[in-house]
Amino acid sequence: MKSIMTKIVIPGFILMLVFLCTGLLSTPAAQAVEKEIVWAIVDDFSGPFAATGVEGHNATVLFLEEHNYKMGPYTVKLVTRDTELKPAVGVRRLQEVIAEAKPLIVSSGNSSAVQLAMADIIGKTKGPIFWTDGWDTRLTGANGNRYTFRWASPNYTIARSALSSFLDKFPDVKKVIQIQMDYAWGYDMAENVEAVLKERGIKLLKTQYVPATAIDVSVFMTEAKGSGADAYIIGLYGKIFGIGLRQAHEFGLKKVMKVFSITGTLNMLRGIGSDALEGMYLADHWNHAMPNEWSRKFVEKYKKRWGVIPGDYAAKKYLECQLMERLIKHTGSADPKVLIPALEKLGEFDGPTGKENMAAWQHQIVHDFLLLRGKAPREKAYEDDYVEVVGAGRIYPRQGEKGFEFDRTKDPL
Amino acid sequence: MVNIDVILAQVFNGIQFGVLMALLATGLSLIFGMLGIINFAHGSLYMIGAYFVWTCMQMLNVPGKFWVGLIITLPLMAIVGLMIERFLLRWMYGQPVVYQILLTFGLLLVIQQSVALIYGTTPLPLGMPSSFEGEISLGLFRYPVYRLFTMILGLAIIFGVWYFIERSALGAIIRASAEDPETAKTLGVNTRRVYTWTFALGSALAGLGGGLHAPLIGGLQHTIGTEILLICFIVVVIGGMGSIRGALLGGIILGIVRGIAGVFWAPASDFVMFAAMGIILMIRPQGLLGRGGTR
Amino acid sequence: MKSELNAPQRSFMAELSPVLIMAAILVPTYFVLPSKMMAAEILIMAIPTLSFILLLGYTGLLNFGTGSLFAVGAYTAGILLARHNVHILLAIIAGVAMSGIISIIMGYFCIKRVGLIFALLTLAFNQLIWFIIWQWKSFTGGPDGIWGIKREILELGIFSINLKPTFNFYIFVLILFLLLFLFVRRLIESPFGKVLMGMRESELRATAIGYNPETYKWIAFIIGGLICGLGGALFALHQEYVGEHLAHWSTSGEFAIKALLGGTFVLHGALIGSGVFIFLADFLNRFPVLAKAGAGLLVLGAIFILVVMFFRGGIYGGVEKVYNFFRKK
Repeated sequence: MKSIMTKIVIPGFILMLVFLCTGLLSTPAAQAVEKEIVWAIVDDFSGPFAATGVEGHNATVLFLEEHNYKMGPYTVKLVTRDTELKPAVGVRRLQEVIAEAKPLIVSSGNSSAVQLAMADIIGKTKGPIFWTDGWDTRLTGANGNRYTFRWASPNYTIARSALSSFLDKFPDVKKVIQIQMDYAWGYDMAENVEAVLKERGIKLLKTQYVPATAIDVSVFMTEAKGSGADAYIIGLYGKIFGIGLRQAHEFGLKKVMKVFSITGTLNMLRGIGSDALEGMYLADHWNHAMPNEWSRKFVEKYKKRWGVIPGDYAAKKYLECQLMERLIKHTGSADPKVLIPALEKLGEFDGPTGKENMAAWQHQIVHDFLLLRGKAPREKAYEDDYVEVVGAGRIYPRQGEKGFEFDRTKDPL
Repeated sequence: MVNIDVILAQVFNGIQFGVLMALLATGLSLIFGMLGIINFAHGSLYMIGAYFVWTCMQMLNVPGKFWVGLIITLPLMAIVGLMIERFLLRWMYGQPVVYQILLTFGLLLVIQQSVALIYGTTPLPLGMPSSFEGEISLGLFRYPVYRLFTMILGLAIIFGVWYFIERSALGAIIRASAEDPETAKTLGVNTRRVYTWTFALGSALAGLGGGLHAPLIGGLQHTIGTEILLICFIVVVIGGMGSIRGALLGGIILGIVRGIAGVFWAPASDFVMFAAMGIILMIRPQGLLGRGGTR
Repeated sequence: MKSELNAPQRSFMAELSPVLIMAAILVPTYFVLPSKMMAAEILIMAIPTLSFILLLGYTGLLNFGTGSLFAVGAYTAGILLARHNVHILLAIIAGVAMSGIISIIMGYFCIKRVGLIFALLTLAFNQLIWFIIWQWKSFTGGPDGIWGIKREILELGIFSINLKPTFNFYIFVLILFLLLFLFVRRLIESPFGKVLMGMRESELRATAIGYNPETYKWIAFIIGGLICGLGGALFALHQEYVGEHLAHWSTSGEFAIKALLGGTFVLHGALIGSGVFIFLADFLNRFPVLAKAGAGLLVLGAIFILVVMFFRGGIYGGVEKVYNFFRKK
């Protein structure tokens, strides 16, 4: 029995003691104080999307600091978890946060695979209000639920709005080749791009799927260059976006065809540099130079607090806070059963891109999606002045269009 | 679409990527072959090499600052290597593989996240030197100048290292310390010091690879080391652990195989590397040009 | 080690007592942990870690294919539960069996090599399985993974348990884990286990005595695969979601790290390693400052270095050392 003592009991008790001590330390008075709501951020803070995650967190903190951590009559407690950009980890952190902190709102990141898995969990737990930022069309479509809301445009819109504006600009584009990510989001985007091209009778020569972990895309660039296409559509995001655009520039693709990137988030442009971006067309949800009151004020405040110019991800996280605060103040309630119908009835409001409105049937905010042009180094007025807005579109699924409505009967609230 | 010029350009892409990987793999292979250490932190050494070049470029304002930065990076990386070897890896010689993996993996995480804390997670721009922009005509096709240049420079460095190890007197001491440390010691060789400098050399090669590759990846991020590590590792295994020529051969084979897979079935381009490794290990466990037995 | 190859003769109670003690420690642990989901996860993740330890510590095989075998179990159970609505126990058994079948094939190719080459071959197979899961979108969901798994009432004929509450599920996992632990303990003390350990020490000697090392190692590998499958099937139930990331080589690496953290030469190392790893990862994730900077990984990395430098036997070995030090005094 002596050996059993040494082998199990002692390490076991030490382990338990460690758990106990740290457990007590980490949850000081876990009981929710009355009149407190929990705002949970479950976002991608490590891995290739880390930069966007931090930006969104900063915007949320900025809003809460401005409002003294108050939303209406409630005090707001901010809880943060890292998904590590892995669906399985994201799901676990989400389940845990729901079980422990009982948040009213979960605000999340922009990896579609992670978001789709998380939306499924939200639907099952009939859980908190879920602000997602994945661009996969299904998130507010077939895989949506009553609790999931989104400001970011779905791929449906991204492809139609930005690509259509781009093609309108260059009517002589007859053959294109596209590069997409070998990922949930990439397949969805490729389909939507194909649909737009089909409508316009433009020939798609090839869809190149590139793994998100690739570090060299020279093979695809050479192939695209030799394909004889008129335009190259780049659908990359995260680390691979920088690699793709940089190497497209390096292989001189701009000289033989138009280069159009479906994404163009500011913090990723910083890594690429203006020499490569010059003459490329990009697209984004928002730009800090948008000539409207909301953007002007937000950029000013964000810059003052964090010292840098915010990207689209910061703007949308700030807007989420703003909308929720407005509704909580208005209804005086922190009950999803009250807030969700209120969100659905939101109607038109002033947002980052001007007048925006909530499509209640789909839980999708309808707003402009922008077409951008990369500025040459000499055109730049300041460091972060990488692009100018040259067009915008607002093409969203219409109510009744097949495959875009979620099953509302499951959640009557 | 089967144009001869496109195929040739693809072969060039394969070789270019292969040489770059071989440059990194040479360091990894050297460390394994001489010290018997599986260095998972090699990827993070590549990463800090790139960050060092960036830092130097920020601080300096001289013409050709990229090259100056690259040259300054070499001794800096050697110092980093010295410190790692002196304080951590020294205790790992002859220890089971699993401990080496755990230690160097821990080191990888520490370095990677420290860089994230110091430099932030926003991608940092590191453009290529302007005189190397653009493309050059190679008869049938045009190829980016910088790529061509890194290819030649990489080959030269790999050859230099090979010559140093296999042909020079100092190299003979290194090889002797690796193959028979006891005899080397009795002959008056300070094997400890030899190991330390070998590791420093490997680190400097990794840093150089990072600095050279940085202008091609469109923004430095703290995670760039992880994916490259795996590829390098496979290159070393295919070529044969401890063999520099093997690393070059493995790198070029892998580069071309990846390229072909990229054209025909791009999603498989990561997997084919593992497949190549598996097949070679089953047929020839010591790698293509490996010296050792089956272990 | 005793030279005789007979299983040790022990009374029924003596056989059971360590398991009972473990249960007595693990049940209250549930209430101590800061997160209720974590308890079951620690046990589930300890299962493939146990498989890793069985292969490395007791057989000398460094298996980097644990992640894919774990994923095979998870996908099999997940698909059966989400799409075909089968009985929970049946889904678990199917998951275990499927992992067993895969590990038979994998073992056949890998077992001929030893040491690092064996490890690299299992790594290559691991990526092959990951690649199949990634590409076979119609069946595995590809990058989307398997949604819609439901952990519901477990019908056992006479009575039924609702597995939805975390505590009930934890007890369910705990029972399976303890049974598995008993089995593995029994296995390493059986003649079969003695042969394996003998081969770890000297393969040549084992061959000379008349054992075919390849067959023995193959069987050990398959047992390891079956154990991973059990872990995977339970994980599918635990998360109600299965993703491709489980099959990626980094998951295999994670199991290896858990084993090393706990201690590779003793079975309890699996539980300790898994517990400390998951607890730390979660604990570090709780601080917004750390979570935001991804600094949890930094601390984790530092801990790995410390373990290798100072606690070579993992946490278990370290505690044992301290205990022995005080007992001698």
